[in-house]
Parts: sequence; C-alpha cells; structure tokens
Amino acid sequence: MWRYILNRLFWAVPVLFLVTLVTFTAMKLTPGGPFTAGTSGRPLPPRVKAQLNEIYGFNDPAWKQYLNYMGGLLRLDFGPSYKFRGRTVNDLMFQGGLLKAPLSVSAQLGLVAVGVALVIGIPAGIVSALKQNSWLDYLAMFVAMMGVSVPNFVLGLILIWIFALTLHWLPTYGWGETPLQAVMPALTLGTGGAAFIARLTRASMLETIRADYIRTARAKGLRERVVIWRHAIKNSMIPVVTILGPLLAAWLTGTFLVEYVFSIPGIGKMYVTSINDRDYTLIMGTTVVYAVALVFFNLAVDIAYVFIDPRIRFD
Amino acid sequence: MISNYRRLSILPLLAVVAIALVVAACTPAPPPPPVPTTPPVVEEPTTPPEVEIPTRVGLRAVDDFTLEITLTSPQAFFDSILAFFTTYPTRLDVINQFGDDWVLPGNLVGNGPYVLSEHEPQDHVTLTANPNWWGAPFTIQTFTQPVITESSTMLAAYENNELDVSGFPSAELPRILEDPVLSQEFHILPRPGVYYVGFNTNRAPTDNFHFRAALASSIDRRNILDNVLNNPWREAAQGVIAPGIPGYQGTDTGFAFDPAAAQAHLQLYIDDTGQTCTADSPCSFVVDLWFNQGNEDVLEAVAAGWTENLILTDADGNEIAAVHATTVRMEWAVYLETLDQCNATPDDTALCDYNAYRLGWVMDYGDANNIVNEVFAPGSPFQYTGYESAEVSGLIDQALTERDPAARAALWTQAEDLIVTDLAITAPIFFYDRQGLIKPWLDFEFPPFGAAFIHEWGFVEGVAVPVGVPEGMGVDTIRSGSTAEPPTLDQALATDTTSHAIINNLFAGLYKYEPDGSITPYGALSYEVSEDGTVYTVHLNPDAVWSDGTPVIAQHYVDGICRMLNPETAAEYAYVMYYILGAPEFNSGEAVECG
Amino acid sequence: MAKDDVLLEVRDLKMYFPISRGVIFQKAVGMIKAVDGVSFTIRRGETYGLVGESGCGKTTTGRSILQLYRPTAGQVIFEGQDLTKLSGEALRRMRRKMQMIFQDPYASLNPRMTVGEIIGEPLEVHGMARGKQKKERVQELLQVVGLNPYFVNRYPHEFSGGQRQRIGIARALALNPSFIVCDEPIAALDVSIRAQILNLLQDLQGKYGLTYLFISHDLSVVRHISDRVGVMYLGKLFEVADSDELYRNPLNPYTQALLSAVHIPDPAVEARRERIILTGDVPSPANPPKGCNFCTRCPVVMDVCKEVEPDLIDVENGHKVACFRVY
Repeated sequence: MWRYILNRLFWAVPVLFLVTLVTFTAMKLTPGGPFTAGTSGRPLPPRVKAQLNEIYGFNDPAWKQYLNYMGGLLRLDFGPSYKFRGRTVNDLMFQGGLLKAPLSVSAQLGLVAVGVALVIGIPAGIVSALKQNSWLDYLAMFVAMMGVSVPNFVLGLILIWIFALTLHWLPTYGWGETPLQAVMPALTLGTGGAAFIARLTRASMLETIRADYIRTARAKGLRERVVIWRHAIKNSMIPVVTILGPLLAAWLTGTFLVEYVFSIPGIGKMYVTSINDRDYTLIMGTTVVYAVALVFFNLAVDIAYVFIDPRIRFD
Repeated sequence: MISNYRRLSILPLLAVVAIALVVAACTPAPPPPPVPTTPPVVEEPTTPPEVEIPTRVGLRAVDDFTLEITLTSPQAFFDSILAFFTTYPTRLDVINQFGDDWVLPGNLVGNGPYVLSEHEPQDHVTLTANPNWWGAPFTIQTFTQPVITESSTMLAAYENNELDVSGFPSAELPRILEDPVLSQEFHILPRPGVYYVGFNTNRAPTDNFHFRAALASSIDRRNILDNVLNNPWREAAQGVIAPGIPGYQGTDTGFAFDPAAAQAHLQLYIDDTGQTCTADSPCSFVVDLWFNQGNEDVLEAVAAGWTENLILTDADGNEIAAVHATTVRMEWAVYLETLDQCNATPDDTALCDYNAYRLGWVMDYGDANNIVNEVFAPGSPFQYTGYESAEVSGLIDQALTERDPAARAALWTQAEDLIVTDLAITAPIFFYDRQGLIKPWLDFEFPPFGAAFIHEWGFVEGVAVPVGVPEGMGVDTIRSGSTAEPPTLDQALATDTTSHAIINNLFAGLYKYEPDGSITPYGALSYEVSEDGTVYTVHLNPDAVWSDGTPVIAQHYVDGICRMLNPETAAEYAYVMYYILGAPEFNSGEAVECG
Repeated sequence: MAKDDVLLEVRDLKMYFPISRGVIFQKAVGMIKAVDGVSFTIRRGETYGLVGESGCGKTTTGRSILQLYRPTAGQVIFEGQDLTKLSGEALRRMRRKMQMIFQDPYASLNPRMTVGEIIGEPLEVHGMARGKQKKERVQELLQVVGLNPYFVNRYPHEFSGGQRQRIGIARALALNPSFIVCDEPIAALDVSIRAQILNLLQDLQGKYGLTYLFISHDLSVVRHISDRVGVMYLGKLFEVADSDELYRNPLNPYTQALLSAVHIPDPAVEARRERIILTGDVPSPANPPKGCNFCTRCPVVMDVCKEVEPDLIDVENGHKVACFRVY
C-alpha cells in the first residue's frame, strides 16, 4: 500500500514537470505578452516595456526563463505576478489563509457543491433505477438531462433572476459574508454534478440489480430492502466514487463560470482573467495547483477503493 | 468502466493547456512575436533637443512647505498636471519598511480623506474615513468597491439594492432606457475622449490623401451611434479634441458623412495614381481594417459604409471602381503587439499589412496636448499611422510654450485641422462619455478626468432608502461595483480607472479637478510660475498630515515624482512627467540625480 | 426413497416478457415467449436434466420455478404448495427449501462480502444461526464442499473459479434445502475442474438426499449426472425420457440432431454416428413459427408440422415426445 502510494507520488513528478513545460511553451507561443498593453488599456510606451522586460527577465532566452521559473517552483515560489505588480503569485493564490484565500474559497464552494451533487444525485439515481421506466424515472432523468445540458452560466442567471431580483431572498454576489451567498452558487454548480451523478448512479444501479449475486441474495430469501441496501447500493457506488476524484479536483480548484457569474473570489476566476492578462506566472501557478490537486484527488480515490472494494489491493 | 473515468479525469488538465493554445490558434496568425532584446529607440513626445544633460532632475523642496518644479521649457498646460495623480506625495520610509507589502491595509499611509481598511483580492476593497483627515468633515464614512466581473450580475445586484453605483452590460441599455425606475437612475456624464480609426500612411491605397479622405467621408457616424451603439446622445466626432476641451471645433474640422464628396475623393485618388478604371476593367481597392475584440459592431458598420458608399459608376451606371473593406479582429494583447511591431519597423510591409486600425483615447487632463501631441504627434508611440509632418510638430512646439489660453487653443486647432483634414491620417468616429446607474438617494459628482472624490458626495434629503438594504446604505456607506480587481494600489504603477477609483480617495495631489474641468487647490494652497514659464513654485497646505499623523512636506512630493520616474519602478505614466528638467534622462537610466 | 415420490410438479408454465416501445407512454407491442407451456415432474432425490441450445428457455424455466421471475401462467407445485400463489413472507419461508447454483461463480457472489458473510447471511435472515453458532456452521459448510474452513474472512476474488463455485454450493446448502436448481454450474469452469464439481454435487446429493434440476447445454454432462432428461427448444419441451433411454433412442428429430453433434465415448456408436446439420437460425421467441416450433429447421418436416402444434405424448414407459413423425 505505502509502496503503491510512493510509486504514484514518484510518477506525479514527471507528470507535473510535463504540465509546466507544456503550459510554458503554450504561453510563449501565444502572441501578445504581459507588457503589450498597459493596465490603462493603452499601448505601453516602448521605454516602459523595455524596462519591464528587463526587470522581469523577459530578455533572457526562453529556456533560461523556464529554468529560473522551475528553480523558484522547487522552493514553492511561484514568482511575481505581471498584472498585479508588487504582488507575488503566492500572495494572490494563498493570501487570506484558510478562510479567504482564493484557493480556499474555491475549495469551500467546491465542497458545498459536491455535497449538493451527492445529496441530490445519488438518491435520484437509485430511485430512478429501482422504479425503472416509471414516470418517476422519466421525470428524474428528464431533469437530469436538463441539468447536464443547461450551461452553468444560464442556470446561474436564472437563479439570480428568481431568488435575488424577484423574491429578494438571496444576495446576488460575493462569498464568505453570509451563508446565504453560498446557496445559488452551490445549486448552480451542484445541479450539473447532481444530474451527472444521478445518471451514473442509475446506470450503475441498473447494472448491479441485474447481477447474479443480487439474484442470489433474493434466492437466499432476503427481504427486498436488505437486498437493495446491503447488496445493490454499496456495489453500485464504485463508479460514483471514481468520478468523485476528478470532480473534486475540478471543483475544489475553482470553477470559472460559477465564480464569474456570482463574483466569487476564487481561483477559477483568477485563472481565466490571468490568461487575458497574459499573467504568465499566475497562469503557471494556477495550472500547477490544478495539476497537483488532480494527482492528489485521483490518488485519494484510488486509496478509497481499497476500503470500498475488497477486490482492489495495491501490492 | 473504471479506466474510462480515469481517462476522463485527465481532460480538464488538457483543457487548461488547450485554452492557452486556443487563444493562440484563434488569433489571425500574426508573425511570430520576437522578444525585443534591446529597448527600441523611439521618439518620446516633445522631448526638445537638449544639448547639455542636467545632473539633477528639476525637483526641489525649497522648505517643508514649498515645492519647486523646473521644466525644460515653458509648458503652458503644466497647470493641469498639478492635478494629475503623477504628483501624489509618497512616504519612502513606509515603502522601505514594508517593501511590496506597503499597499496592504494597515501598512498603507496616505494623505487623502480615506484609509484602506480592507482589501480582499478579487472580492472587494473598503475605505473608511481617515481619522487624521486635515480637510473639511464629510458624510460618506465607508466606501466599498466589490469586484463583480460579470456585468449582468452587477446590474442584478444593483437592482437588488446591493449596490449604490453600477455599470451594466451594453445589451441591457434598451431595457434600462425603457424601465421607469432604471431610466431615472441612468446618468450620462462628460468624459473627454475620442474613438477613432487611424490610417496606415505607408501602405497603398491609404498612402494617398484622397483615398484617406474618401474613407473618412464615407463613415455614417450618426447612424452608428443611433442604431449600432444605441447611444443617440453621443456626439459624432470629426476632430480629435473632445467637447469641453479648449480648441474643440465641432463640425468645423475633418470630414462629415458625404458619399458624393467621398466618391469625388476616390476619383481624385484614381487620377492621382494614374489608374484607368472602366466598365470593362473596373478597379477594385482592398482596405484591411484591423480592430480588437469587442468593437465588432462599430467597425463592421464602418467597413460596410466604405464598401457600400465608395462605388464609382460611368455615365451608363456601370461600375468602374469599388472599395472592398475586409476586417480582421484580434484579441487585445495580440492586437497591440502586432501594431507595436509594425511601429518599430514601419518599412516592413509584410508586418504592417493593415490600412486602418481602431483605437480610442480617454483624456487624462484638460489640455489638448494630451491628445493632439501625446497621441497624434508624428512618431508618438500611441498611434500607428506612420505619418511625418514638420508642420504639425512645429505647431505643437508653439502650442506648448504659448501661455495665452486663447492663442494656445488656436494653435491646437490648427494642428488638429492638419491631422484630421489636410492630412487625414485619422477618421474620428465619436466622443466618449461616462454612463452609469446611480441610486437616487446619492448626491454625486464626477470630474471629467480621473476618478470621483467620494468625500464630496452626500445624500439627497427626502429620498427614502428601501427596506432591507445592506447596512449603512443611504446613511454613511457607498457600494460601487467594479468589473475588475484593481491591478495595484501603488500610485506610481496604477494607470487604470479601477485602481484610481480607490487611490484617488487615499491620496491627495497638489490640485484637484472639479466637475467643470477646472482645478482647485487640494494638497497645495497656491502656485506661481516664473516669467519664462519654466519654474513652478507650489506652496503646500501646512495643515496637511498623513493618515499616521505626520505632516506632509515638500520632500514627500519630490519623492513621489522621483519614484515614478525611477527606471526601476518602470511606471507606465512616467512619460507624463517628461516635461520636468532631466526627467527623461533619469527615466532612461542616465546618470541624473533625483530627490 | 420411492421413485414416484413427486417433489416438484410444473404444470403448463408460461413466462412471457413484454416488448415495449415508447418513452413516456409505453405500450406492449409483443411478447417474448421464453417459456411457453412447459410441464414436467421431478421426483424426490432424482436429478432432472434440462438441455437445449442457449436461448431455449431452460434458465428462465429454472428461475420461474424458484419464483425469481413470477410466471405469466401455470403452476409450480413444490411439496404440495403452489409457489405461484405464494408471496411475501410465505414465499420467503419456502425459499429455505429451494436454492440455486449459478453459472458464473464470480458474478453470483457479492464482491464486497467475505465468504463468511455470504454463507452466513441466509442463516441469519432465516433465524437459523447467529454468532458463534453461525461461524461454526459456516466452517462446517466450507469443509463439506472441500474448502479450508479458515477461508471465512476472505473475499470471493481471492479464490479460483472452482473454489468460488464451491462457495456458491456451500451457500446454497446453508439452509438445508431439499431442492437445488443448478443453472449451468460448470459451464464457466475450466475443463479440468468440471469433474470435481460434478462429483461434489453427486456426493452431496447422496449425503443430504438433495433433488437437482440440472440445467445445461452440454449433453454429455447431463447424461452423466441426470436420471431423467428434458429437451427444450424455443420455450417448449420436445422430449422427456430416462437418461439412458434418451441417449440410446432419441425420437425427436431435434434431439437426434443435438445428439449427432456430441462425441460419444463409445467407438461403436461413434462409428455409425451420422451428423445431422441443422440449417437456418433459431426463430425469434417473439415470433415463433406456426405449428411445430422446429418446423423451420426440421430435416424431416411434414406439412402437418407447419399447421398443428404437436403435443408431448408418452410413447412408451415415460418416454415422452412431441413430434408427428413419432406418433
């Protein structure tokens, strides 16, 4: 087990290295640099541009810039932001601590949304599967289809229209001042996930309840409730747990659209604006954080398997 | 099944990289961006030939409350600069103590009416009244600027009474104008600036005056404002000097929309260039129009106007010549980079394959110098027409030294005529304004330049605030939405409106702008100018203190300007102070002292 | 044990599955007649073999008998009680007496339960044993099926196919049933261990007086283990006879065709074996042919076969056959 974890961590290193290399190359190939435009929205005077290129080492060859960056990264230094001058990427991502840092805010939103997705998605999927082809099943799957197909952005604006503008129940934007602020973003993000998880649970459940061992359980003379709870549900949760890894990685590290619509100071919003700003170090920083989270959560899920599915052993 | 999900999980990671690649792929392939290895040699605006390099920058604290500024030559508009943020005082001791963190709440020390009490990046900035404020008492005790990136969310928050001041998505403008409530809260305020199309004078066919005149006369500006932008109150622009700025000419300069005149110019162009265009072999002229994303509506209308109006026919009605405008849309950073490279190497015709480009300019201060000279002077880094004109340069030099306001305005007018009429290097399209939604209980004012002075705002008596609004709204607090996180609160580095909306209330400059565009004393009491117009002596207000209680002295102003000019600061707006003796040299890293 | 002591009687058993179309409003557009009027009896202590090609309805017959599917029509009389009339608690109590061994020894064991839990669960739910007593019973059962009793805490995936099937058998035995449906119990196993499992089943039958319904597509296996054999084709019984009689003297052309494809370990028989090759596909059970179900592929088909369905008729000494050629 420990051997397996160490092995996985060992292989994460070249993966992360590749991520930085590809991202760095992509950024260098993209025309327009961080100092093409001033923050004023005007062209930057050439002299200032030259000064900035000098200060930030942009006159060095690309490979040297990359090595410098990687050298900093080894010391967990993500470098200075090019857009928010005077601030480092570490400041931008981590400042504010557990409560307020963008990374933390995104994680809070992600956790609440994952909770919403699981609480709605799993029961809906189970009921759908047990009442397969009933009106309940069709209703649940129709709603799930809608949940998957309606873009977050649109759903968010619809919720704002209903709960803020019409009913005046909830605040429109922000995070962390009142729990009410979490309701609409979590619903917006969670609904899509709930729909996905419901479909997954339903499919997995349908597969499980047709399995021989469920027939065995019935043949044993078990009550239907016991058959469903003890034998079917537990076994049909494995694909759901599998999807939780990437889902947690994706949601906890920021979801641009929802953060954008509800103006949540998370890392997802920061990431996309950093691309427009050509804030190279911030792009790199957020990408590396995302990659690390992805590796971590996938590993966590793999370890969770051991506890969920006795067939899986890492030797 | 399990392995499928595992494969899925790598997708978001790839998407991360793909976004960057897509940005690259979606942009119309400009040449590969060379990283400039040496600072390009560029003419700075109005750097008069200086034979001897001064050893010191012309800044001096005569005593604690007297500041002396020496210019290279008489600069008549420099009065306006006294109210510009480039003259804010600076506490070097605070900066040295905290380093880059000096702009954080608790560290930042300002001399303005407010102090920085909260700054949560990407979330909000909150200012509260400065307990050591040395000016008159004021009403608004708290000013919060939340970051709401999505403008439709901001509008919703405003309608839900979570904001006092808000912008809006342009698509919502028709609804706002029809809504009985919102239309009353919608305000249009002056904001001098011009939106224009510039012409590349080094590339055919825009290298010919008549062709440029033909293009400038075939833009239906009124139609664009009324029907494309839904801004019928805005003024169509024929010149570059905005309304309210001395020298503004209205329709007395430039080219009005006149298809017949435009066709006549096109015919003159054909004659000029000795081309023969007949019904059998009609001439076709291609115009490449570049612009950045977000300007599709206006620029497509401009291009359509050129293509539709610039058609010549013979007596039988057969087409003998036509203009075909093609548009190229780019992402902002790519757009500027491509234009910049072209400016650096104007002879490279492969690089500069545009005939026309779009840019805009919102004025920093109330003198036409800011647009006629700083943007449109030959060789200015802010325009990409590649034109040369000794006559324009001469008029600019004259205007700069002319201290008589009327005579100076007349000189700017002449320069403008050359730029937009005689040379037609640019076709202005419209003048900007400032639009926003403001709650009816606010007594507000905006100066035409820079940001609002919140401490001068108040509440309208008798206007009730709805029940259930956030705490303090309508009592002592203002919430004003911003679509972006302020890039910096460092006054030397900030150049954008978002940062300035904050900084403008944390610091007090020497003078300040009033809503009518005039300047009044702020951190200073008065100033006088030497007879030759080169030495400004400013008398400071001895009552002024910093938010930590220490007095504001002349050396703090010297430190502020020197820090901005220091090449290590790499301040975008350092060039604004280049009129000060020795400033360009100091900023270029030459052996000149400052301080 | 008297040979005529009937344990189970199946009367005109029908199991139809509806084919439905439509998303919101479903309507049945047809029926798959998986089992279509099957009748037979199984005597206490005997092994009744059920053979046929895959899809002929033999597995459905087995499951319908155990009420894992509720039959569309017909009666299943087990120890004098019609199971089709039972439900809920009464049916659950009857399940103790009849168990099933599945084809896939892996899929039929819950992968998240230990062997002890799998075997012990029925003991618990039927209130037969708990705690230490349960554990002892489980270990005893493991020993009975030839497994190490210390395996109780292992998971199914830790065993080989043969071992898993032994676990499945132990589980089936846990409640002391009198009747076990063996649904292709060795089909998924390696050839080398098939004999072991068959021998185990036979040993257990002798030891506990079990009655088997042995379902298989493998005629030689069925011949080896069964006392009597029923041949199914497309949801119907075509021929029933004592095992030796059937193999010596197959009367139905379908049985003959099936047997002609089997290698018989007797050089004499093998020498005069004539292979009958059937052409065409098995018709769809949703749309069986008119008349005899086999008429579309029968090498000796007559006109009457295409019009009238033959009944299963006892031709001599309990050798029953449904074929107009024989009558």
